[in-house]
Amino acid sequence: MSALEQILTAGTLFVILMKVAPLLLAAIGGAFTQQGNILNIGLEGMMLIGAFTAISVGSAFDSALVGVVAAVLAGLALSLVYAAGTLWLKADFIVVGIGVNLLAAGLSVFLLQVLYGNPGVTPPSASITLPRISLGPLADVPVLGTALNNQTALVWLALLSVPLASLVLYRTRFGVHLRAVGEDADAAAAAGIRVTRVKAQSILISGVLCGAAGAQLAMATLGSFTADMTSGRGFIAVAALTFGLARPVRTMVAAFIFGAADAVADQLGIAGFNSNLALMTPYVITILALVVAGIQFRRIRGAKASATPTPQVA
Amino acid sequence: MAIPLLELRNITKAFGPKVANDDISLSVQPGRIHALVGENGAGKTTLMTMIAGTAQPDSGQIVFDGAEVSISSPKKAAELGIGMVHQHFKLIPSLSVAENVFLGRELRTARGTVDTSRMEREVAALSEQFGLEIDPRAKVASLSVGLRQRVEVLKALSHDTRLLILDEPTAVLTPGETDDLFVVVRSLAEKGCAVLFISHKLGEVLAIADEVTVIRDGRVIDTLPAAGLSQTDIAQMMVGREVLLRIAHTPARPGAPVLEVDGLTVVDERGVTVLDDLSLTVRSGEIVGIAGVEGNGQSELAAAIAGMQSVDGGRVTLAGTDITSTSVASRRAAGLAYIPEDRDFVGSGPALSVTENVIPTHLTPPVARRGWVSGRAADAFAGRLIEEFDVRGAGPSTPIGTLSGGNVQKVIIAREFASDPTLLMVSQPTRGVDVGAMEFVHNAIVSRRDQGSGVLLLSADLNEVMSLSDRLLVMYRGEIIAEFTQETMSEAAVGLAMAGVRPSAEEVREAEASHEQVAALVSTHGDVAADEVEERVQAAAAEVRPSTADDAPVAPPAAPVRADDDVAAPQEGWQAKFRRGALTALRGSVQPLVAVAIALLIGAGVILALGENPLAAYDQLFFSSFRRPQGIGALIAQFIPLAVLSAAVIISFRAGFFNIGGEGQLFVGAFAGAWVAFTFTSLPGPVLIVLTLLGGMVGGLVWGFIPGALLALWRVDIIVTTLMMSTIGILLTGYLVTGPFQDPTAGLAGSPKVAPQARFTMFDPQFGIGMDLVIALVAVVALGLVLTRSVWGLRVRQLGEMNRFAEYTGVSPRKMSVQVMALSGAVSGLAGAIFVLGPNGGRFLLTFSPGYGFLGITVALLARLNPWAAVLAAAFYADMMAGSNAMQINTSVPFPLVNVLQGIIILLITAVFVVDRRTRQRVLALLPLRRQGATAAATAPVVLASEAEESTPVAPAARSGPDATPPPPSGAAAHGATAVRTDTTDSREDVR
Repeated sequence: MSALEQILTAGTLFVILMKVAPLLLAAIGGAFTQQGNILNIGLEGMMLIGAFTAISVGSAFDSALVGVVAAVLAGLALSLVYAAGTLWLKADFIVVGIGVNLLAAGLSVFLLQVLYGNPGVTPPSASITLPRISLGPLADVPVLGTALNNQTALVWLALLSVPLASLVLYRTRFGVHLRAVGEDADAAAAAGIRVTRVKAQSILISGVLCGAAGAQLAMATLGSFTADMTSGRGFIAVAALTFGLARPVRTMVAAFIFGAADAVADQLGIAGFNSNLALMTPYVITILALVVAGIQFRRIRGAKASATPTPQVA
Repeated sequence: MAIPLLELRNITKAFGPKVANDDISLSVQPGRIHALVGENGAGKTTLMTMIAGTAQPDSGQIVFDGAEVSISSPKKAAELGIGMVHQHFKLIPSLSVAENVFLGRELRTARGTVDTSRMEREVAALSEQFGLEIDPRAKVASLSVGLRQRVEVLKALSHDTRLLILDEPTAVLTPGETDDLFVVVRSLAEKGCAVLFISHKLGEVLAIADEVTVIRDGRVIDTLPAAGLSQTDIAQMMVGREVLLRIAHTPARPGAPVLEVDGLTVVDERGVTVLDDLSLTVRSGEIVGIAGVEGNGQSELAAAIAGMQSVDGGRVTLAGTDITSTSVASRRAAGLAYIPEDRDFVGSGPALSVTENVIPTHLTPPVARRGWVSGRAADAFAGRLIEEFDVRGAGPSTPIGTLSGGNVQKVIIAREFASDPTLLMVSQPTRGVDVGAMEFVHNAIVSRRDQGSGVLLLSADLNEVMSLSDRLLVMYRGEIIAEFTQETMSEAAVGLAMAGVRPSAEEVREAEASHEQVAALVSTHGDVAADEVEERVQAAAAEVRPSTADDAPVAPPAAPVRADDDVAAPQEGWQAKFRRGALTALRGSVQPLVAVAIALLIGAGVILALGENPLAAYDQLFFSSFRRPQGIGALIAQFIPLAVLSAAVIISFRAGFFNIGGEGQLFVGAFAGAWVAFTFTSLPGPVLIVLTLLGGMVGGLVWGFIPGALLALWRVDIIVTTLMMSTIGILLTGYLVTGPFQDPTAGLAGSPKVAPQARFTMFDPQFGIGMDLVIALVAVVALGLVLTRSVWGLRVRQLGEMNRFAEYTGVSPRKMSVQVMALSGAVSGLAGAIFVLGPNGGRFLLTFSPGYGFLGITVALLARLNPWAAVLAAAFYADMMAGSNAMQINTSVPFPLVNVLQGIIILLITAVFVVDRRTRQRVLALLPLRRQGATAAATAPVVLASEAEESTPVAPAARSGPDATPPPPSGAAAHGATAVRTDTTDSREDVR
């Protein structure tokens, strides 16, 4: 079997979907705050704390559902910290994001040590995985059937989150308010929109989605938690939403490309290749996309479509 | 008279020490147009925001429709029927007209979604009802300014409005659009609506208003019926003395041309031609004025001549030299001085001291020699300018932002005059300046002319520009449309030209007639006893402000103060200096100490919950390292990378570039250094050490340079790129040491061993004191000195404080972004190379960093970006990290508690505990991390360029335009944030 065949097995799409789900959930969460003009770098930490909580609480109650609920609550709690820091204490949101990430990393390792006496990984006794949803006869549908059969409910939630986010952002009052706040907070405030509240809501949404993302990450296959489990996935999510201009569909496309790169890197690793180079692709792609955007802007400005000269507002 | 619709009783509102509104009482009748006039800064807008619900009075009552109300929010104002059209439009460009009109109270369908079609229908109906034609579906971004205002008016009228507030509505309108607006406003009043009309254009006030209230210094001077008032009457009340509506004009003695603008064309980022083939000449010894409605290209003309606006065609020649596309610095060198329109964000860096504000354009001996600033000479220079230009309430070290507008303007004038300019360009010189300072400014400008400078004066104040100019040019839509001399200028003729008509005598007459017609149409004045008015005007004018008494105009110094003049200014005693420094340090350390204290308290709670004794645990955490030599060694091992990396962070943050990729720069630097040291093994030790350190710096430099260059070239957001580059760097080095440069004997992923002769000498192996510590300390001290004492460091600080100001004084933000990022990266890389040659290194190890790059950010922030304090902060962090194992072993409190503490500290470090506004601003000023505008700059252009779909949150950045310097960073992550590589922290102590 050639290396290429090894990479492109029938299950590749299945694996990609599994890998994309946490990325997509986190990126959609980040897209909400980004629409409110907050680049949420705490995604990584919120996801990490979600992953830890999913395993520790889920295994304690021996229930995947309890684990997921706990993970969502943990993500929500950490997003509350983020919201309190940025909106109430008016701290810089990047710095607070860094703090949230550090806190999540420290707390998860601290609790690993306290609860399981091992700062690296949860023991096999504390293991829990998510149930898989079988498609029954539909599993035989070529390509899609294979890809979607036996995925977890959270994969479905991730896929569903995209149209849902579009609906909320563009068709609801909250969405219009959030976009207005993100574009010009003063103007939104003058129109009676409660800026702080709208921003806080968007942050909490990102916390919930990141909690779920963490649960998928830890409980989909491994069923255990290791220190620094997210290993930069939150930043890939940031890359995805940057690439996607915080629009749900574009963000999804980016998440799929990046998730695919991750899956390919895994396959390369299994096939005995050095996977580090493949793992770089999301980051390189994002930088290139930003550069292309910058060049495009230059060119448009150079083209100078002539319009009626109108006095400018300061 | 009828019952007033709105009555303000004794409204007072203060912002910190500044009283914006002082005991204001005012009543507005339904069906009447009530004008509120006053100079800029008199408190008009503040008063209006309290009626519109965006601010609350400190004391006093608002009575609406006979009942006392509390207008706690804009929503409440809307419910009462108060609508406001803001001077700066409060519109969301990416939303449609209908969505903007209904913003905040969108109509919804039964399913709960936004009912776009119904909103559009309602807006169409509204626009028909009020005769304000507009397409409800159009995106606001695509509308002209006049149409945008129409949307604002519709918005204000959309909820059964009984009181309409118009804040400077005509500032951006052409005269034609103004007349249209007045017709609408008058018809509204006729329908019973009360209108509050805010303006400082007296002619308009008299044309439209029924009553006029004059505000001065936050107080009501008087309310009078408009009929019978003249512009001079109102002006007199506004400024409290017989104003210089005409400054005594002395004839000019023009010489040779100093500035020649030929066919200048500028197209803005929206593709609009803002300067259209414009030509003008300024000769030495004359004042050439530019009049025009604001927004007709005046700002762009000034920016283009100053070198802060890219030009699309034409030539600018200064004293015979073509400066069309030269840098700001070279224009200044060629004899340009510029007093910009925006005093606070271009003309000065508010948080910088007066000294730091005046020296950037005078960096010649004795102020600066060989790239280093002499603090003593700089302060002396500033001190002399303060004295000679009569700047009140300021010393050299006073932050300029704490001065009044007039005094800030004096500092700017002092700085610009001190270069003895060939051409002095002045934009809106007296806007927001008190009367005393105004006369000073006017006299100063004339004296500059008489000393032989050419003066180009741009002002929206027609009186000012007509009085001062020897020749007056009128700008309209980016062109010079008319030219007048002192003899030919008349207000009617200039006004006509401002409206876009190249006036002939006949046209002037026609214009006057038509204007009177409109005036008659919109005015409802009855006959009022003019005598009575006159009497009250006199009384009001006589009430001279107390503050003006000591504000007597002072003539500017005849000879300019030069930086190279003899320095003999009084010096501050060292005790005073020390006391001031100690005070500053004390004030600055409150925030970090509070953050640390809170973190330790929370940590103590956690320790208690574990059933341990917090005091014993903290004793181990903070003091155990000092009890054993190995403990000190472990501390030093943590201290070195933290100190060097935080210095790298401080350099970039102080310049306003959020380099959060220190981790990747560290990795690449470490590998590059290691590569040198394991490849050139035959070189002698000292040579190899130097080459290794250089190799590390080059590696880090490349990794920092790339984001810096991308920012400079295409304005790619630096936070996202440094973050991405950081991860790429870690993955790349990971690839190298698991691939081509793998050393199977390393155990962990690592490179081959470096040449033994390259390893640092250890002076005291037991305490871990060696060359690595020396080199790290030298690097940190050198960087600290560069930042605080050098010319380059001054540029860094200027840039971080206010990048428009830096650019204005001749700093190139593009060059600086590349330089700063390269240096910051090189320093991070140096930290990597130091590790490789240090006692714990010996090779590049993939697991060598527990997230130092990122911890460096927290150390830098804990030190509030002060390079000296960062040494202490780094030692504090290193102590904690080194003591964590002892804590776990001796008190069974797990070592990751340290990571939790660090997380809490950084969460709180930029938080604002004290709600005091001034403290808050100081905190923000210290951390140049605030972003104006919006998100990732580079993502915005895509929206502009190719997308016509749904709205986007990133448009505001696009609006900031290409003239803006690299946008302030907008946010992203730090990699390594979660990289708590426990193995390193664990093993550190043993290795040592």
